[in-house]
Amino acid sequence: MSTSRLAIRLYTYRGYSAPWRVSIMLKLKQLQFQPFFVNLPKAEQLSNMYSQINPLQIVPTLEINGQLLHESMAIAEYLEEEFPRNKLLPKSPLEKAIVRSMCETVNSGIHPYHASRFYKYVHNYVSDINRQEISEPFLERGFTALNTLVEKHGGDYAFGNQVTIADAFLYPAFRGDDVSYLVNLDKYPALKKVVENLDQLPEFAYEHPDSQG
Amino acid sequence: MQQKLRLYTYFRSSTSHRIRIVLNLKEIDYEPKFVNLLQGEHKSEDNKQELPNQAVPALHLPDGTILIESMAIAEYLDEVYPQKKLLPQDPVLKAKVRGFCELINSGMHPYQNLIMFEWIEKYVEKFDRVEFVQNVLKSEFQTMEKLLLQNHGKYSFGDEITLADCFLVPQVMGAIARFKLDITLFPTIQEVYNNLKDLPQFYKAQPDQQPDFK
Repeated sequence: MSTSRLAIRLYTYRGYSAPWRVSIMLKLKQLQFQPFFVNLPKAEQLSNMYSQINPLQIVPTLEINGQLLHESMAIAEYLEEEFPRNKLLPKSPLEKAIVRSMCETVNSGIHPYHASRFYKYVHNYVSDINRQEISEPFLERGFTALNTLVEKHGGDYAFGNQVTIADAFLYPAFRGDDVSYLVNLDKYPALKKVVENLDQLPEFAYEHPDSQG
Repeated sequence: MQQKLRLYTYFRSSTSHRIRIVLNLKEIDYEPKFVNLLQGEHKSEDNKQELPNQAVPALHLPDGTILIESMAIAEYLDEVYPQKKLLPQDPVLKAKVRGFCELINSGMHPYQNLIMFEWIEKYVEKFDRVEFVQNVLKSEFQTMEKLLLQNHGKYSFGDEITLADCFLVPQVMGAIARFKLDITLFPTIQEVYNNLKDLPQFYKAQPDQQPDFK
């Protein structure tokens, strides 16, 4: 796809893990995009204003050529197929499956258990328990599974020595503002090694929420 | 020596159910290995190698490789077994199908699995699983209904079966059977679900048709 007349807009909130994954991928693919900030801590995605833009009221949403795409994994696959430069998935179906299983371990095995709606659901039943206590056993389970995968298949990065979509999921899973206070990277040596390598890459640089004008 | 694909599955596991449908649609012969989640077999020492994330489904390939995560397994099967393709060619439509699957995979199911229940039941004495999940699903099903309204034909996306259908049927079936969801509140979901559930590949994959059904 030609990039010369593309209009790409990312509905995002800086520092938050899920939209950060997409932002990293867009940078890895060297795609220019316009960020549109939706205040997630204030649940702005549920506002009437945002529902006019995106009836699904979900962030991240990628607007590309007038189409609205949601779900970071679906967006990742789309970007990978439509913009073949700087490949972010290995060649063979088997290797792709391993990279995807890393992404999904984050996407469905970790992220749901530090989402604000999760705390709301739990606090309906248990009021005297804080976020750390709620998330801890779930995150331990998810990060342990991810550590095992990366121990087995990782090198400099999550999968071997090339950056893949797995890194775009793994890195915000530790450095994201919605999760970093809940997890101790030292407990996961294979993951720590990869995160520290990714700390060096400009495409993974943290952008502070206060930088959102 | 393992000749066929081997699927580690539990009859009532929604995530396993998805893959059983995919395997049926693609007419892939497989060997099922039953894991009783209620008896904690997924956490046993015996299954430590076989179930690296202590969960089902797990797909064992003849060469010994083990694949986990239903979305990753489904994408692998769709690529390696191209008969009855489950993802459309059009990139935007493909993204929408994947987005729909992920809505279920990461937006709903994590809050209605055994891990969730076993944890919260340590804190809440008379925990009502049904009430908890109904609360989770009521807004998520509204989103699903919106997506289907925009995209459906006979099935979730047009008139061809896609991966979205393989995720929809287990999610809706479980919501009705186990969490007393009133599906009539979601007419498009209900319509698509009714078009799918009695197709032989879907019917044969459902929990009460499994050899380990109790």
